[in-house]
Parts: sequence; C-alpha cells; structure tokens
Amino acid sequence: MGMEDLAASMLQLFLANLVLCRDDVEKEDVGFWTMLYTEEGATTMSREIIAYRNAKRRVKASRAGNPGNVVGVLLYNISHTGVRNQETSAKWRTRLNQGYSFSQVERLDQAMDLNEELRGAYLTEQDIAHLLGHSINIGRASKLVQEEYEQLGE
Amino acid sequence: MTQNDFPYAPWGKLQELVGKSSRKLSYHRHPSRAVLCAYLQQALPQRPRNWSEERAEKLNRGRLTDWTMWEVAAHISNCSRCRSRIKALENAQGKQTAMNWLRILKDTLRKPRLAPVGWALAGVQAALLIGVLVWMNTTLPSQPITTVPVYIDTNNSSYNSTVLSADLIRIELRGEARIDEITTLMQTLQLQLVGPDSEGLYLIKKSDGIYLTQEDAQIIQEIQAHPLLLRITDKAELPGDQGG
Repeated sequence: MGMEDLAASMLQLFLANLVLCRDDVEKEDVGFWTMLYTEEGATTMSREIIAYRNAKRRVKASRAGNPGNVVGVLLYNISHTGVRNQETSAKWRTRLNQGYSFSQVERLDQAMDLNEELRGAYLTEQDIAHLLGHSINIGRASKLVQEEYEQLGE
Repeated sequence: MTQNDFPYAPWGKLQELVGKSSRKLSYHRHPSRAVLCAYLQQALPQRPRNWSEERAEKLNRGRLTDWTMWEVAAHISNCSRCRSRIKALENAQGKQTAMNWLRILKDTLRKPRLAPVGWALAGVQAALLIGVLVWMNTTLPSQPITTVPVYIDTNNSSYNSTVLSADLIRIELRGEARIDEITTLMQTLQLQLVGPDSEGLYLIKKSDGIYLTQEDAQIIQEIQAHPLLLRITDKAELPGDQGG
C-alpha cells in the first residue's frame, strides 16, 4: 500500500473520530498526515478538519447547543459526496425506518465503515435528524463550522 | 426545512478525500492479539509521541512494536484479516464475561454457610441469570441467544412444584460450557433444563413435560456423550426436599 493510501485512511479516521462526537484529533496529527497525503492541499484540508473539531469544542464549551449538530453536518456532507446511488439511499431509508441507531457505532473502525456506507446516499436533513435521534438545522450548524474555518485562516 | 442537494462548506478538500474509495489490502505483519485486545478496551495511547515518515513506513508494513489507537484503527480499516480477528475477540470477550458471571453465581450458591438461604439466593441467581442472558442477547450478535430461555427454564417455581423423586436426574453445567452450545444440545435432544437449584444443578424436562429419571437410560447415554458441557451428578440429593 502506498503512503498516500495510508495517509488517506488516517485522515478518514480523523473524520470518523469527529463523527463519534469525540475530539481527540490534534493539529499535529492532521498536519503530519495531510502533508503525507497531499503537499499541495495540505493546509486547506487541515483547516477543514480542524474547523469541524473546533466547532464541536465550541458548542461543547457553550453548553447552549448540541455538539451532535456538528456531527450532523459531517454526516450530511459525507452522504452528499460521490455519485448519488439510489440503491444506497433506499438501503438507508429502510435502515432508518427500521430504527437503526447511530449509538451502535462506538469504535473508530465502525465509524469509518459508517462513513463509507453513507457515501452517495444523499440523505436529507430529516434523515440525518432521524439518524442522530434529534432535530437539526444543518444550515445553521454549518455556519458555525464555516466561522471556525475562517478564523483558522486569520 | 432547508432543502439542499450539495454539501455544506467547509467541504472542499475533504470531499476529494471522502470521495476516494478505500482499498482493502492484506499485510504481511499484523498487531498481536494483546494489542487488539488493548485496542478493544481503548487501553492504548491515542497517538505516538512523534509522527515521522519512518514510523509511517513501519505502520504501512505492519511492523510497529508500540501501536497506538490511531495506528491500530488505520491497520484494521485496511486489513480484512484483522477485522475478522477483532470481531472474534469481541465475541469471545462478551461470552467470557457472561460465563464468568454464571460461574461466580454458581460458586456463591455452593458455599455451605449460605445453605439456609439457598432458595432465596437461587431466586436472585435466576433473576441475574435472566439479566445475563438478556445482556448476552443484546451484545453478542452472532449468537442465537434468543432461543436460550426456551431451553433453560430458570423459573424455580416450576422446580419447587415438581413432585420430586429419588430417581430424578440432575446435571451440572461445566464452567467452560457455552450457553449457545448447551442450547443447541438441548434443542437436538428435545430437552429443557430447569433450574438452577441452590447447588447450581438443573433438572431435565423431556418434551412430554416429564422429568428425566434413571429409567431414561438412552437419553442419559446421549447426555453423557457430551461430558464437556454437562455432568450428570451422582445419586441426587433432592433440592428443597425439606421433608427428607
């Protein structure tokens, strides 16, 4: 396996960690592996990952919001990545109707599998709310992440 | 509700990354069993002291000696062999915990000083056993535990109400016996275990509802063919037979 593939796996694990509503991702982790993955876009990619982590930390610290909303933005974006796959969408709808619980996902490798399964599902905001078990305004939550992203560039 | 058909920012470089299909490859070297157990228990350090290209190279070859959470997870996500190992370890850990509980309960009830309150404790044991079975059912996906209650009746009231005779056969579950193995055996033999009593022993009910006695030589022979799972006790000292 090439180092680029390994770096991609590691970066996807960082996203999986954020999906688990944890924030163990540190700047040095992201910095090292993004550089190994792509020297060109390393700075932008690092900023993007850290923006999600910071947004989550900010919500956690404020106690006013739900850090799960940031997770919701991530899940939404992951599901809206890649080619839309009707079969995947249908599978997720069925799964959600059958009461699939996001709480079953506990480990990094499981979260990474979840991310892979979500890709191309194009879930709606309502689906994401169903998945998380609470209502969510993804547009509003994503503004928070965007703010953090911009702050990192200053 | 906002209807959107595209990702929300910031999702530029990440979109490229997530859009890339991951490749599952086999490694020549793998983390040890102890490392995988530690990973499952989240007992490894999250990251190494320092990341370096040299370390990344070692990770890429599965040659690390001091694995961290990030690194084990990265290896597992790319290695189908270690994914299977992790699943097997998860199941084994769950079963081991449940069997340890059963053993502790059985040992506790065998202590002579507890004999006067044996039946009261048997009730508690039955409740805990049911709890353990429910817990196993929810945590061990590969195990057909849902059928267990049908074949192991932990309701001691039916035990108490049984007209006991000296001929009744009682058996002991071996400590190392797995619940799913016992269940399969009981299903095959069309029998049901009833108990446990204060000594941790079980009566055996046949499909016609009658308890197994010394006269059922053929069935006893079949049970004795599974010495690792069940042990037929010597001449039964009847549980709850207060009248002598």
